[in-house]
Amino acid sequence: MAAATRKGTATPLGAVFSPEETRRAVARVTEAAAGRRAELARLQGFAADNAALVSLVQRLPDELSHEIMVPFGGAAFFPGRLIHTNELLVLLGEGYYAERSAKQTTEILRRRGMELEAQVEAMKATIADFEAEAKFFESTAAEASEGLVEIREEYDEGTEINSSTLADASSSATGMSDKNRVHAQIMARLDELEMEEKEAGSSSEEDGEEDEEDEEEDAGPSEDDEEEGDVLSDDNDHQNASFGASFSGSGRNDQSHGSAQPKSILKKPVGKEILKGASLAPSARTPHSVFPGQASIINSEIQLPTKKAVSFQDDNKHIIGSSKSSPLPQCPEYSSSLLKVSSDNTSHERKIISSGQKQAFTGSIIEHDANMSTFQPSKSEDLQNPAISPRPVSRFKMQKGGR
Amino acid sequence: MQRDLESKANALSKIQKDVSKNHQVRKQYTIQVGENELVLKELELVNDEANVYKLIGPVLVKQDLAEAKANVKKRIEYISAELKRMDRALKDLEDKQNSKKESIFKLQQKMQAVQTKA
Repeated sequence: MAAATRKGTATPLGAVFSPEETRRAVARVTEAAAGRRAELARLQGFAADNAALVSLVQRLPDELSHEIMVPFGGAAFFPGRLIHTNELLVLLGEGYYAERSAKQTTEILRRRGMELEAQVEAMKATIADFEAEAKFFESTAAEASEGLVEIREEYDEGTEINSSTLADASSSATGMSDKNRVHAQIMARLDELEMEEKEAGSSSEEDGEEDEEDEEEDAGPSEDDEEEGDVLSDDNDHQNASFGASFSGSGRNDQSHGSAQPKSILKKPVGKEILKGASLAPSARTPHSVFPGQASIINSEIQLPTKKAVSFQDDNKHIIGSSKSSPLPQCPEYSSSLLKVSSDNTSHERKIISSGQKQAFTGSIIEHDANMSTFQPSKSEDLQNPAISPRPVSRFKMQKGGR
Repeated sequence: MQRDLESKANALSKIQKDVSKNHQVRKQYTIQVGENELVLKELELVNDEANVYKLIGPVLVKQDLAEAKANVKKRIEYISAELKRMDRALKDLEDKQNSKKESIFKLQQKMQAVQTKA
């Protein structure tokens, strides 16, 4: 990471979200939650009343007439009898009454009870939302008061890639120094593994994926360090991002090479691989397992059938939300460069993908059924020379499609 | 300039009050529509022979089932139309509110510029 050459901004979280304000926001949200809870209590009271009424109405027709004490006036009773025990005038709402039998009345009451229950559930959901919000605010306030700093750096892909091997010093900030050191080794191993995978096929996928994950991880950081200055991003996010990147990369390939391949790629086995990869990914704490298979899972368990390519824009090195890329197993080569990918739609990790993809992929696409990692060694060097125009790593702008 | 700002601020607060009133009325209408729909559902389930009564003041008046259904349906339509109208009015109010806010903001900026110059 050529931190020296890159400008960056370190903004204390406290400045962006002042602790005071955040605490006030927390108070506000908890207030709203309390209001909702009162409503919830009311609704639950209604539900209880309804249930009591149902049991009463069911007992009424048991006798021809019931002996009761009839209220008279405000404070008096007199003994009387309840007759016509099966005829009830039920209030339907809005001033409308209907004469119904006891059984029909219980039906009406039961329906009302279901409505109430639905309302109670909705209320509980809103309360849960409020509580989540409050918790988030609370944690932000705590972080801000601790003096957490948000670091942003410009991402210059050219310098990044070139300096990736020397990144040790710069990576200390992000704590990825180890990975940087191993980066070169990883790349070589990646190439080997890809060859291996090609031969081995899906059987070795899991192992391969894991290996790849580890390798990718190392490879990734070098690029990562440079780009991502955000100290707050999680590993998971990285993972997702990397997956997304590889995913999008493959998508791009599809684009450039027609749609014929995506179909082959989208076979079920591939899907399975992807799933495997995905499950593996979370367990591997590699920030950059750019395994195309894995990436695809993130992006499209549902999208398998869609072959839409891409998320990569030709002129834009940013990864677009993986929403549309079909998993093409050929992007392993991009894995190193695909470190930053906007992850699937749900996670909003925005990382820049090394733009090398566009340039790197100049050859034909090698189809790998169920084998996600098809490294094309010849192209690996291309990855090294992405010419990304330096721009500030605005996480939210990185996503294509305006997400 | 000051007076201008004040008058604009007053107009803005009035608009905001209107917006909140709109919200409240809308909420009420929504509840009513919900209730009416429930009533309609029950009326559909009642067989034709049953007696339906309407509470008019302190009097329970027997009503024809078909008539009752028609009345409830009409009420629902009416309230929904009202709701739509309120929605449009709300949108207008909000737009006006935003434009007022902007003009106030601009005015404030101008005033600040003048003050710093002076």
